[in-house]
Amino acid sequence: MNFSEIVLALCFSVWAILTVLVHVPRLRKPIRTYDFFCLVPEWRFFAPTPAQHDVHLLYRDQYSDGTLTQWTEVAVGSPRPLWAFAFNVNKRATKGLIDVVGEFCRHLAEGVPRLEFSIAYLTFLNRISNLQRLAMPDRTQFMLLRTDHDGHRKDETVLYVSPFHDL
Amino acid sequence: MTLPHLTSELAFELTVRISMFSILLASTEYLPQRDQLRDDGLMSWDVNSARQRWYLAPGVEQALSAVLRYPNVLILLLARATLAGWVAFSPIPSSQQVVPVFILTALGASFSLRSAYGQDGADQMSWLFSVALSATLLVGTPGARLVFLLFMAAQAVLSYSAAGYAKLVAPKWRDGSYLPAIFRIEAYGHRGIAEALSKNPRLCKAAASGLLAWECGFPLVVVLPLPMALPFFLGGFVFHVAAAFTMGLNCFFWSFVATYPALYFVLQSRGF
Repeated sequence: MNFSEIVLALCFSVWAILTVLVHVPRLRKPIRTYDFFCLVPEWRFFAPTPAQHDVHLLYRDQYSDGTLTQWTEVAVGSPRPLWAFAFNVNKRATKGLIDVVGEFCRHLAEGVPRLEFSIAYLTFLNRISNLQRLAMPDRTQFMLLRTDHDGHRKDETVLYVSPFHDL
Repeated sequence: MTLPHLTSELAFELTVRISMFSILLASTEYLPQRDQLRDDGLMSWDVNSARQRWYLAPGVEQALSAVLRYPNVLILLLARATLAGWVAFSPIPSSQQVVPVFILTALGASFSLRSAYGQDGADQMSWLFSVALSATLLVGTPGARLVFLLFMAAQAVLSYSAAGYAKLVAPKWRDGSYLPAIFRIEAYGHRGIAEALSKNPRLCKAAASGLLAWECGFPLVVVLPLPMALPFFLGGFVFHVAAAFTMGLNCFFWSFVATYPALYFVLQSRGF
């Protein structure tokens, strides 16, 4: 082995060791803090607690006369087509919403100050503020909803309702 | 039965080309759903550009915006798909594809700065592969390619075993009750399978036990003779094909199966 191959082998060894260590809960945060390019993978495949619910983003508007619209769901993605086993265009949007809601709920649980300046909050607000509407309302707000499926029954839980924001 | 012999060159070619196909697929899948990449989408650069303070540094902000702002990001994705397709199907050996692989990795790095929303384990494996391949091609020797194959094989073993042991601590994975719960959700679910599993707890437990045994037992491939390690490869094929058909996790198949030639070569090199 020449010098550059030894350096490469050392780098890959450290990388593989970090891949093991990042799965140790105590070491996860320090590794993640310095892993700017997300090079250290976390292999979970739905472990230890898989997603068992769907999440939904809804919004409602208020007009200048005080009228409130009904809560309306923001469509993210579409039902999975038959050919999704080969080419699945829908998964990015669906997973995207799951990720933003997950990040937002972690902020909520951790009591992050100034939640409304978080990227997750701004993502929701940006999305609902730019939706096409027939008439321009004065203010808008969003709600995050979780649907748990238990057999044929669907249980809905409100995760968060934002205050109104001027448009 | 004589098992096929894989040379290091062929193992390297297969690993690189299958991974590149996964990147080609992943990049093109963004394009029909490009609304999510727009400034008003879930993966808006307008919003995500405020994620890190250094993104807003003078010079950096303009440079990143030039590449990552919508619609410019579509050019990035198209370029990434084109380069991945070129390496995957090119007549030129992968070991000589230094420039396309470097550009592809740089594009991947840029895209990863944009937004982590919507990415999954298949993207994680493809990203790891791109960076490792770039470093390997930079060294450019047969020895470096052997180190790369060893690294990809190690990541294959780590991925399945880490996921298995993470599941093993959860009682609902052990008794199988998570399986119907996963298949009930709209995002990754399948109504028919969910109903079948809900009616048959024994099937759930058997399926979950099989999955746990396969994932947790995967490191055994390192010590088992090659013919006895092959059922673990077969388990991987079945797992990823099932995940693609029932959950729409299509890219997982390509990005993880791409590591199998590397793992097969490493196991074969032990001589037993």
